[in-house]
Amino acid sequence: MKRIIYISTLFVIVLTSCTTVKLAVPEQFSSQSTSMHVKGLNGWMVNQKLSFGNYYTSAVKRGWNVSSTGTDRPSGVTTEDRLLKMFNVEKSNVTLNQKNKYQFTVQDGNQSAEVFCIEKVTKEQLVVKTNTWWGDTHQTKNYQYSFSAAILPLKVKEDAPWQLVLYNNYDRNKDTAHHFFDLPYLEEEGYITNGTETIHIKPLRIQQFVRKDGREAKFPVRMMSGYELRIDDGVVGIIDSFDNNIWMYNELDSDTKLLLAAVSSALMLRKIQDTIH
Amino acid sequence: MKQIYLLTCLIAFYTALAAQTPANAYLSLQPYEIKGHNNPLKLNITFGNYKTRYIKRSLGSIFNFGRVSFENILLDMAGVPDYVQGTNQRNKDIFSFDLTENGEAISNTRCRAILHQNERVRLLLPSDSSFFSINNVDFLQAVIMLHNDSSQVWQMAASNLNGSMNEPQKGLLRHDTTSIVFEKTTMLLREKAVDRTDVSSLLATMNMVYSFTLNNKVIAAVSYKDTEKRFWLHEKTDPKLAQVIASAAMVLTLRRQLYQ
Repeated sequence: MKRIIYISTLFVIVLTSCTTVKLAVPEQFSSQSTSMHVKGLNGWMVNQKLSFGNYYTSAVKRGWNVSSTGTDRPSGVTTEDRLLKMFNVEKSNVTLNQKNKYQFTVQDGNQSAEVFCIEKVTKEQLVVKTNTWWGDTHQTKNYQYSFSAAILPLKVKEDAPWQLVLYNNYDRNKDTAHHFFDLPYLEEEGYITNGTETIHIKPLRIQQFVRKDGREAKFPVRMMSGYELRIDDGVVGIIDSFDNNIWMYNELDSDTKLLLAAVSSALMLRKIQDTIH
Repeated sequence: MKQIYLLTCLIAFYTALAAQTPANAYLSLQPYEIKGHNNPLKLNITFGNYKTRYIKRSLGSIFNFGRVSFENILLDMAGVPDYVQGTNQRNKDIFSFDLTENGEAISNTRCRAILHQNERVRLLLPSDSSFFSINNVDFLQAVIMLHNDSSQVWQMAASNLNGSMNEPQKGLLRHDTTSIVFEKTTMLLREKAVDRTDVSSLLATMNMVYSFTLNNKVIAAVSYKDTEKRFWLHEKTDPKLAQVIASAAMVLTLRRQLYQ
């Protein structure tokens, strides 16, 4: 787990210092879709507003970003726990909780939708006190990240609200990563549903990317780069978190496009970073 | 007008939602916040219509004494380092409490949990993958007596609740032929109680919980962690079963972590 953070940090430093990374969207999809660059993600965050294509959001109303850390009931005893205890190394089991809420309205000029979001992470860590200049070391035992949103299209015609759920769940005991470049095993799922129709959200992890000069390059490991939105196994949208772009399939009706715009904005406005990415 | 519109939408949504959610999403369970468990000044715990009273704990549960190991004393005298010596300790937790619903006593629960810690590093013996020989006994048993029906005495048994062995942390509630299984797991559960006029009650989060399953259907859950503790219950649960599950959830909330 920790090595993935090292790898990710290393690549972020390398990528930001050398070149601009772009997601290599297959031409089969890009030729039939529109790319929109999202403005407003960086910079002044008070009354933050997003805009992309002909979509724009209201000022994002954020709640308190609540976070707490403390000792809590440990979920189990690991081999590391036993070894540290045996050699009388000072350690503690710490549980970190973080919760963030926000809401906004997204509109395309004709229609609008209200979006209510919550994200939460609970992480249990084994903290080893080294009492040296290295500081304390942390090892994640497990974590549960979830993001949930309720999207209410504001229309004269009755229409059910949509519920968005995206979660990932890591348990060190179930981890299958053994080598340095292995990605940890994550239980993850994402979907948007109104009870009758479902759009699946698939995390996009890529190894190939396009450099600023147009040449293709490859990461040594697959990197989290955004999300793919699918209806019936067909891709209808791509959220590119490398370059803050949203790709939308051209043939969609305006209601679905507004829904995808709401989903994309909600996902891009998240504050709690999932540690695995 | 907006509220009527929202109400119509939400009713349509809730009726159709169940078929669309993933396997570990249990959005039909209603959440109740558990209060008082972390406050040393509050003697009782409340959640929903339930409240505990007369929580009693034996002195032996508070002052644990490790078992004297003559083998370790001899190894100490011979100058053998600590890490070769085994851990051999006995801890227990014995407590009882009453549960009330809307001020009326509904059940009395007595609980006994033990942990015999027997762990040794295997330096000279053929070692298993974890380097440890673990022969712990981690067991919890409880009796839940419902006041309104004296024939309803439920037995509760669980193993490995301290997570000291590489096994699932689970248990069973049984009366006659009815069995409710509970197990530590992670589930997607509702954050707020369903309010058909509030769209934000659709929001759900991932939680580490003990889930209670009756006939392969999850009917209740209680948070594993002590921070932001909640109890979730299916609206259509039989009232007697709900009382039993609420008592069991209190056992799991009140129990102490015995592994040291």
